[in-house]
Amino acid sequence: MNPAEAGDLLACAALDPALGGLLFLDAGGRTLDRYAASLATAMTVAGEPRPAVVHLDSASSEEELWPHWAVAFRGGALFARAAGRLSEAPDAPPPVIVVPDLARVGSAVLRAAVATRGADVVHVERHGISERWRPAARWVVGCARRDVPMLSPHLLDRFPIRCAGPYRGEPEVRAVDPAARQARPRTPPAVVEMIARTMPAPASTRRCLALARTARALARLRHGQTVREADVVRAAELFGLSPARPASAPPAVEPAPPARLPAAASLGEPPSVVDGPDELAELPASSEAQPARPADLEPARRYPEDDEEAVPQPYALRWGTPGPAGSRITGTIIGHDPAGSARDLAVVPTLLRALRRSRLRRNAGPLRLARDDLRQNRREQRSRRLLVLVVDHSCRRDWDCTPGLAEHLRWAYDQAAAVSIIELGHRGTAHDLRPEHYRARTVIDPRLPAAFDREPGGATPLAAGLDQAAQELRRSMHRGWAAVDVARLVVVTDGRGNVPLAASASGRVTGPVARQGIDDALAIAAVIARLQRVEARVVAPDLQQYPTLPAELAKAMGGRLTVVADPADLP
Amino acid sequence: MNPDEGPLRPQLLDRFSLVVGVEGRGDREARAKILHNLLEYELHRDDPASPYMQVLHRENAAKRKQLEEARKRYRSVTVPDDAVAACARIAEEFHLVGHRGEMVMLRAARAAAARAKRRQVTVEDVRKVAKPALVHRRPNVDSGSPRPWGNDEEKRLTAAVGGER
Repeated sequence: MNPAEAGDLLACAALDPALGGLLFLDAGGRTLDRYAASLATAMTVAGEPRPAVVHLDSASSEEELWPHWAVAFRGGALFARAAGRLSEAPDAPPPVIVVPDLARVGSAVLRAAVATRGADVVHVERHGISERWRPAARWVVGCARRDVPMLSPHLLDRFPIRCAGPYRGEPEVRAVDPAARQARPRTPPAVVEMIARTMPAPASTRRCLALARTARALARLRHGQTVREADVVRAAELFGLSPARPASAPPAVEPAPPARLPAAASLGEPPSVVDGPDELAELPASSEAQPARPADLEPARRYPEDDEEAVPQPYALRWGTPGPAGSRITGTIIGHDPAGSARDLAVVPTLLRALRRSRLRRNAGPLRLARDDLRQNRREQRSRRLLVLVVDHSCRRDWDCTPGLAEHLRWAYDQAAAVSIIELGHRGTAHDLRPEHYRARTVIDPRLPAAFDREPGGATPLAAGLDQAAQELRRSMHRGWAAVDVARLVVVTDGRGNVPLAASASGRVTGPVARQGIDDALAIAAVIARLQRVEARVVAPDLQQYPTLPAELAKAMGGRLTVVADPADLP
Repeated sequence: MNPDEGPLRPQLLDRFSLVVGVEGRGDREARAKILHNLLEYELHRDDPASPYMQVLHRENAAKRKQLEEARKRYRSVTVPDDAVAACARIAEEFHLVGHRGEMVMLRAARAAAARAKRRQVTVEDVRKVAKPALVHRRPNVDSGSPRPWGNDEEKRLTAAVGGER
């Protein structure tokens, strides 16, 4: 995105609140701050205060976002009504809301974005507080391109304007003058039809509307009385689209308004402004679309959720999941952002920033913290559900275990559970005697299908795999700021572990192992049985040899056994 | 409700009389018409005295008057036995739990007849309102979301309304 394109987009967003949903793909926090500041500048009306820039993060709660009661000690009252961070007052400019990472922000913010972005009116009823306003806040949000397909389609639909990097240079902020604010250009039917043709399927109506509004905003910026095809072409460029051409030839004169509509003169447009020549006259009349644009501007790159293989997280807007609820602060710290509140402050980044700035401020004496110095932790959001999957590849051979796993994978999908995968006994492993462990945010992680398509190996470090699963369960549920409420442990195995726990730990086998690997596995299974809020399951093949081992393991874990017969063995 | 916010429990869904799914229109002509209407509305909405808004207000007032008249007629609309029997057959065909489903169907069919300025409910009225009355009252899949209503449901509905077994 070059500075001119960024400037045009920000000016359009400043002009029309309906265009205030900007999603920056693969943009860092500093980039977002820069663009948010530029947008606030473009929104500022001469002689009026500058719009506030409000940062929302993974810890932002419903209580913070919406009007609420706060302790006040004012006028003899203990509590007073307090505005939420999304509240908009009639006597103040609408804020610019910044969300550094849409994929990791809490459900309160996601639900607020869906409810308010593009809504005609916000009506809040909370704890006896009743407030209404017409939302005009602009949202500047960031998200990694790879995370976009996992987000709620309803949420993404609220952010139809996508900005793609690299974000070079400062945006060329265009002045939004009073004449542009007052301009009310009409969009002729031929231009509307062109807009509908420009936006490729399966675009939503909101996305088409955003394109139409952008074209209209561009017409307002040039003080036009009518939206022209050239405006659509420029809007399409900003959206990364190839503009279509209307079937009919472009009109030489401004079309007359429909009979049921008022004449343009009655709309209060500045009479001194006249439209210039139509820049689209040079477009080839026979072609419906322009030549292919650079790959970076292709719609598929800006709307990854349109990909046929994109699978959103189920119930991504459900209250309380997957983000932290209420005041619980959970999740690994993965960065820091400007602080919007005093919660979950990032101490070291705050001090470092204050130190750097103290030199600029030329403060003598002790270090002083200013509000701008405060930084807040950005946290990796975790689901409240966890599926721990132990896959013993050595038992699989030609056996397809997926029928037995389907219900557990469906559970993980429905619950938006995080997945912890422990693989053992396959040919490509780095170490035969040790399991491999990795984590996925959801069950739709692309690594998961590969976990069921490996060649079986010779060694089966089942005890070590179960030990790793037990550690993972303890870590997720019983330590520190653990976020997981319910976990399900599913072990795919025939129970024939042939690597003792000690051998896995030392990395070498000394002497005959006999039943030691099995006994170790059963002993660890008994430990797992004592863990609370863990549902244990064993999925096993229907084998003739040692058929009781899986049942022993399931019993030791206090879980349930599912035997999945190989279809080839069925009569 | 937004499906992304998660499913509702069946006993809660059962309290909502009619359910309508909202979907975008994919065809270009409909899309262009929606765009045109919305852009024109946005152009004029802050000026209630504009001719455009006056037309909309008149249309709204006419619709309101129609509904108020239909509401007055509602009590006098009679329900013949064949409409009641159709409701019962549909309820049986779709294995409805409880009796809210058929009650809602009858009331909605009565309202449809009142809107159409008829004195009596027809079996066709029942058929028309069956989908929004039943779509959320069928046994759910394990995710808890209402199942889509497809050709199979339409065939079963037609058979039940026609009395075919």
